[in-house]
Amino acid sequence: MSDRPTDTPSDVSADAEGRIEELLTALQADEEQRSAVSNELTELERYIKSMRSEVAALKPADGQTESHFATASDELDAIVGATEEATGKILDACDAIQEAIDQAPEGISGPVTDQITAIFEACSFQDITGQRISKVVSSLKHIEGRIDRMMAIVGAGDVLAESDPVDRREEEGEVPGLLNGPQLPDGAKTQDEIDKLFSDSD
Amino acid sequence: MAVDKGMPVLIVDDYKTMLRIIRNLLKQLGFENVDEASDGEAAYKKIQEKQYGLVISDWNMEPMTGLQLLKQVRANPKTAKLPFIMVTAESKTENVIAAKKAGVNNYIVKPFNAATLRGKMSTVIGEF
Repeated sequence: MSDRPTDTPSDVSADAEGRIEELLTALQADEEQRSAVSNELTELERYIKSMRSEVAALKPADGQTESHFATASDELDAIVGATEEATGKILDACDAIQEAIDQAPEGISGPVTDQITAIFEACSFQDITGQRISKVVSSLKHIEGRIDRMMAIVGAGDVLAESDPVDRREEEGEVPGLLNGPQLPDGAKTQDEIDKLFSDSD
Repeated sequence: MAVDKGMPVLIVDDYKTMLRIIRNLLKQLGFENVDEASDGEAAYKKIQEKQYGLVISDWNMEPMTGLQLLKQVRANPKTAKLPFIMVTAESKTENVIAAKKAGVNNYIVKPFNAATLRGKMSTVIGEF
């Protein structure tokens, strides 16, 4: 068994950067001969720093705003919930029509019943889409896990996550007309609340 | 022999909407004595308590899948011959083969319509 202490991926990354700094200092003593190597190492250092920032931006540090992955998963869950609710209402309406038409003559009730059956058949989309979306959520969680590992390897957790350039532009109003889309049920305002906001601001 | 449309049918699915759709389609086909279960475990309990003429089950359910339910049903001498139709979005060849090996009587891929359900039921329990 090795006596060598086990470094974390973050330690290794920091150690590598420290060595690069040392090398750069040493190389500066004989810059004419080693300028090419120095330039390469400088580029490498810049690249590592840039990569750490980019990876950190993918997933904000704990305690900050929700990660893009968590938001995407919540949005997809909301889609499943909304389609389930809508499908339930469609089926309720079909049941009500069926009940009303049951006493009608066969010439009328028959074709209506056939169409109701067609609606029921079509509504099975909800089950299929729900299963597909669940697969997408699983894939997102898998990617998130991989990014966590990548962050550990490059030490991105130590870097204060900067917001994505696109997010920044939206925050600064540089992408006019873009909204955040429908809110998730927990954060959404009811029409009554909206109406109250309007009346309060009069 | 004529099929008794009053026979108890058990439908198993973890999506309430799907249970409702299958129940409605069965009603259109004249089968109104229908019970529901939301997973294999709940279904197996019902099968032990009541004699069903047909089980129509989804595959993807937790904690017990439709395939596990099928295997349990076939392993029990009392229910080994219970007609069992798998209704699922799983259409990969290996899944169909696995269900067939486990003793499923027929296999319907979602989405499906009343005509398909009627055709498969006729194959399993007889013309109606």
